[in-house]
Amino acid sequence: MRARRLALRWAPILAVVVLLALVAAAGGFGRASGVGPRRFEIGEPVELRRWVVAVESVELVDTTSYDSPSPPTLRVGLQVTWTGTATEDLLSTGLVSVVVPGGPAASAEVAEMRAGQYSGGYDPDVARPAQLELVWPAGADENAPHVPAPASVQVVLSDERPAQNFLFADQWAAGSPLGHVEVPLADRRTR
Amino acid sequence: MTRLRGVLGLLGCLVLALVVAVVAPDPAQDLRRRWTDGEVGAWAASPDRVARVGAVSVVRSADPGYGQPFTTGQALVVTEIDVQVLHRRTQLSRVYLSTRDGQQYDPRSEFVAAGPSLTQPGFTRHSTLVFEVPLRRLDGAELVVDADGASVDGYADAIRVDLGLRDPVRVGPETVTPAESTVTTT
Repeated sequence: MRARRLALRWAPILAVVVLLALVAAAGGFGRASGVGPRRFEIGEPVELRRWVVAVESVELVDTTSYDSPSPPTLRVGLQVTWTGTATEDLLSTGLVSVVVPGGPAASAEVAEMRAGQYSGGYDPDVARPAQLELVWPAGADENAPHVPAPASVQVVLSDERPAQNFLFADQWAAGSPLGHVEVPLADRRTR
Repeated sequence: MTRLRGVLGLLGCLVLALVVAVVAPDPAQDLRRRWTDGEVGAWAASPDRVARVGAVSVVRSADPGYGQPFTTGQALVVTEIDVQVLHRRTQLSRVYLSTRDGQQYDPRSEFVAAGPSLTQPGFTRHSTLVFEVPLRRLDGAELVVDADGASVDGYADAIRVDLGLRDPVRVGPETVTPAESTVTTT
């Protein structure tokens, strides 16, 4: 009787010890490898669910492509391939954003501009340049005070996730960031 | 009893509507079509329009008439087409190149002045379309003159023309300058 009571008292402790031993044997107490946003190289093609995007350059300008004054703007040069089955009019929103380390935030609004000879849509499996523009600092206008430009910025790439609903079968929404590219910033401001 | 029957009837209708919504193909994605097949140089007639592909060339450079020529490492398929509009005006907004593996390429909008646009019945629209397509996908490609939208019976009339491109496709070295789109009385 006494021996049984003693066994019952030690049983939970024994169970915990066995469990810990199993976790240790499975490598559960090993040092975890670093997990965080991935870092991509300049020009490296990054495969997203529907696009392949390579970040090529970032420049800071204060004029439009027609040389008229504009707010200070980060102009991101990309090489993009659409992998869908029919021509897509625009690059999906939310794929690209820019972080300026130690500086004010860039605008969350990203405008797609004419890139080289291209002003139209994205054809399936045809790699082509694309150009995105973000006002920096966010909300600045043509008369904004001069802000020192950092040596480099981080271009953050995010993927999409399917967001099908009852109205649209082919609907996608911006997902979480996938990683970033550290890109030297070419300051081409004229003012 | 009558009230219960009414509620059950209503519930039945709701369930039926839900089933139809889930099971039925999305008309925006899966438009059903009555196809009329054609070939280069011949008129192909559907109930609302008649189309003829006049000439097809494959090049690497085309001049949009402003700025630098549009050049590519792929292939530019330059297609001249006449469309006679018969009964009702049409935007001709869904004319595309379809490849053998089901990819769809819209005409490059950089050449919009040469492309198709709103055409009234009784007129023939002459346009030039420029498609940028990977060279490996040209074999067996077709030009599709699709309906602007679905018809009442859920079917759309569409014309498809075999462009006569077969491997190995010859890519011309010249720069093509598409002429502006024109319209004439039929």
